[in-house]
Amino acid sequence: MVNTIAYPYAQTNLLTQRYHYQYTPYQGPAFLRAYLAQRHTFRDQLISIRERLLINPTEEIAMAEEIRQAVLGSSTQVGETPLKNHRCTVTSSAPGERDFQTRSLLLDLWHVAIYRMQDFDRTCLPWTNFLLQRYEVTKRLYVGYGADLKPSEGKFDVTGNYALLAALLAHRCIASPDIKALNTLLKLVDLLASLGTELQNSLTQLTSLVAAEAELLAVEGLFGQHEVAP
Amino acid sequence: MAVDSSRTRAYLAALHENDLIPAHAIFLTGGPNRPDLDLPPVPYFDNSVPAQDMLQEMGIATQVLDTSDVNSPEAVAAVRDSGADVLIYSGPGGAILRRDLFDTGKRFLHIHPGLVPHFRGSTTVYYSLLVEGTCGVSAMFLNEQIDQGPVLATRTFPPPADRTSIDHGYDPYIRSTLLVQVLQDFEARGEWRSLPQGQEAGETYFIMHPVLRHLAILSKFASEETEEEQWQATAPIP
Repeated sequence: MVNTIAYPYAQTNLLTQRYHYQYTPYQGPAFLRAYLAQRHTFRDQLISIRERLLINPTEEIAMAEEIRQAVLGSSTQVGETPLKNHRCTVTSSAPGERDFQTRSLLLDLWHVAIYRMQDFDRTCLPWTNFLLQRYEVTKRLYVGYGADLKPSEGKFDVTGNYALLAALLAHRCIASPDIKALNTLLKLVDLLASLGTELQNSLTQLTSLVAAEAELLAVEGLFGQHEVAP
Repeated sequence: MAVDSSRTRAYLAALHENDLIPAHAIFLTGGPNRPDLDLPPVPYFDNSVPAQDMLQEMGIATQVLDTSDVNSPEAVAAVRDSGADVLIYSGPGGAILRRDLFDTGKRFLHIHPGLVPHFRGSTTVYYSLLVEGTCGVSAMFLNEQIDQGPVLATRTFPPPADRTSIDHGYDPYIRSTLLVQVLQDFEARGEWRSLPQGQEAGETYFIMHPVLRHLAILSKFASEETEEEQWQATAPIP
C-alpha cells in the first residue's frame, strides 16, 4: 500500500527546536505506516554504520555492544567489557543528595542494569525516573545537575546522554511491557533520528540503534496485542 | 471556573439537563480559548453553543476575565471574592493551579479522565484504554500535587464505539456524567464526601506519543468486565 503521509515528528532538529507533542492530530493507520517506514530507514542507516564500526573496535564500541547484548541479546563479542569494570560514583547516593554529571549517572545505571540487576529497583529506579521526568518536562538532558536537581550547566547537546537513556528505557520495555517507558523512548528516538548524521560518536550511534530496534520490537508487539495491522 | 472548551460545554449541557445550576461563574477568555471555538459535532451532547452563551441562557451570573491564565492575579482575586466554597474547575488543558489559588481557601472540584492513583497526569484516557481497555474517571478536590487530591468518586466506562472523537466527545461526556453524579450526591446528603488517595503506588503519565495514541484509537481491546454502572461514591471520612 502506498503511504502518502510522512512521519512528521523527526523532521527538524529536536535538540534545538523542542517539541512537546500537544494536540497531535489523528491521521489513521497511514500514520502508523509512516512511523514504521521512518524507523526502518533510521535503523537500516545505523546498521550500516555499525557494520563499519565493528571492524575497528574501541572501548566505546565495546560498551555499546555490552548494552546491545543486555537489551537484544545479539551483540558481536569484541572482548572488552568496560561497563562491567565501571565504578559507580552517583547511584550510591539518592537523587537530591549530591551533584552529578549526567554521563556518569547513565554509566552507573547501565553497570547496575547489566551486572547488579538485583540492586536496580532499590538504587537506580529513582534515578531512572528522575531522568525520564526531566526529559519529559524539559525535552532536554543537561550535562550536569546540582544537589537541588536543577541543571548545573547550560549545555544539553551531548547526544550520547539521550542515546544511553533511550537504550536504558528500551531495556525496561523489552524486560516487561512498560507503556510509560515506551512513551518516553518513542520521543527520545524521535530526537535521535531528528539529528541524522549529527549523532556525535560511535557510542551514540550504536546505542541509538539498540534503542530503535528495541522500540520497534515493543511497538510491533503492541500492534499484535491490540490487533492493529497498519 | 472555566474556559470555553469541549469539557466546559459538556459540563454546562449536563448541568442544564439535570437542573444543577451553579450560583455564578468565572469565565476566562483570551489566549487560545476563543469564544468562537469551532468544534466538530459529537453524538454525546450539544457542543454547538459557545460556553459564554450557555452561561447566559442558563441565567448564571458570570464574571468574564480577559485572560486564560487560571493563576493570573485577576483570576485569583475573582476566586477569592467568590461567594462559593467549592468551584467546579474546567480550566485550560494542562494548566496547574498554583498556591495563590489554594490560599484563597476555596476548593476546586475537578473531574480527571483516569482512575487515580494508577492513572495520574496527562492523556490518561488513552493510557487507560491501552492498559486496561476501559475509560476511568475520578472526581477529586485539587491540591498542589498533580492529581493527588482527595477523591469524591470514581467510575469506569467502556471504550466508545468511535474512538476518533474521544478528545472532543467521549472524554468530556464521561467527565460530565460523573460531575452530575457527584453534585447529585452532594445535593442529597448536604455534604461533600471525600477520601485521601490510597497509599498504594500511583503512576503519573506524561503526554502520550502520537504512535501510542493512534494505537489506542485503532485498538479493538476492550475489557469484558466493564459495565456502564460501575459508579462508586466515596465513603465519608470517619
